Amino acid sequence: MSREATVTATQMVARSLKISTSTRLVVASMAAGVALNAAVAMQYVGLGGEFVLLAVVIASLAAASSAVSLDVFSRSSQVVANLRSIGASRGSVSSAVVVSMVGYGAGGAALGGVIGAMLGAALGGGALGGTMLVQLAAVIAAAAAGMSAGIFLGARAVWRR
Amino acid sequence: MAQIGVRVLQRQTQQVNHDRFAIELDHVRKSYGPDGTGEIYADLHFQLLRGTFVALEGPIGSGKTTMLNMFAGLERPSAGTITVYGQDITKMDEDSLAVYRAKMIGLVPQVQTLIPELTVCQNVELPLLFARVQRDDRRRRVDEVMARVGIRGEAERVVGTLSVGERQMVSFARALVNDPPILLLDEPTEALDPLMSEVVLGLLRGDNMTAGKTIFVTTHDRRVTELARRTLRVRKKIP
Repeated sequence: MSREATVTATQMVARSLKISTSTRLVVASMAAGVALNAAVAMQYVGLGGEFVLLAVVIASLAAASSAVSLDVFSRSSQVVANLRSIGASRGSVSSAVVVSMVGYGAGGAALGGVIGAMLGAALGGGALGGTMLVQLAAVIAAAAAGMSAGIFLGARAVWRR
Repeated sequence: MAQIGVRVLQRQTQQVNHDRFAIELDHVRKSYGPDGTGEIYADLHFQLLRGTFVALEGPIGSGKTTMLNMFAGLERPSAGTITVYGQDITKMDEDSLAVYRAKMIGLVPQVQTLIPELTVCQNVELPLLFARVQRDDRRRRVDEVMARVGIRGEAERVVGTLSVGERQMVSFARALVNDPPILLLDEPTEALDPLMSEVVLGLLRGDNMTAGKTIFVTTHDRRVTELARRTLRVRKKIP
């Protein structure tokens, strides 16, 4: 038996849909940019403002990643139809896309968040410490949630066509 | 496809015992137009026995593939119901249909639907992944079906590099790997050379991978219709 038969569904679906490293880097860059700005801004607002910023992170990354997802699925609509014919569900295909992209997105958010936190501290926004770590974790989590939601929304829009 | 109508010439009118049937069509209508125009089927009403081999003959554009797609739940009828092994698939949502296709249907479409970037082995394995079959079982089943169909030696080849005939054999292996009770084949010998056609016919002749399954095949090939227990014929309505 071939060792190829041990590849996961996520990897195979990602390869079938031609999700390239470039696509993943686009997602990572978007997440990094949004997280960087959010991490700086968080040091200048109160608790209510932080929640607003997290909502902005979720909404903006959901919108951006849904566009990427829509593009991926639209370009591969025939592949999606083929996968459907052999038992793929919307959930299984969307999950595979989320798993294959959200890691890069979270990585980008983490990098952007750390740079933003340091930049904010250097600009006199606040001291690096426990609170900032919590803020950073919240930004990364919000970024991952926003991207996952966006990818599912994009997949849903294409699946309905 | 506009204004194409067909009628089924052979119908079963025997006593209804639903446990005997693989597929039951109850007054199925199919049209593509928003207001009922572009009618493909006006009133399909027949049953296919479990374990039977039925061929569907008809000219190009008469709706053979449409019927196959309706059985696979890839297209919904405009009216009527399709019951497969006791389940009304016309009432299923998309998620239920995905499970239905993964467990019940082996589809060999006319148009190649393999993923060209993946290897033969990976393409054959895909339905098992969607059906959430465990890894060891996947390995065993993929190995077995590739050996049976005669493509084991091609396991590591990328599908994009295969000939049309070789791809058709991979499609067969992929359709059989889940051991589905129903096989739907759309023109399985079309575009195959004589040798490959014979391999396909051999599989349909009662190879133990296909024995006991309900096989529904669209074809123009006399050799295939001769193998079938029954042949349905559809014809185009002349506008």
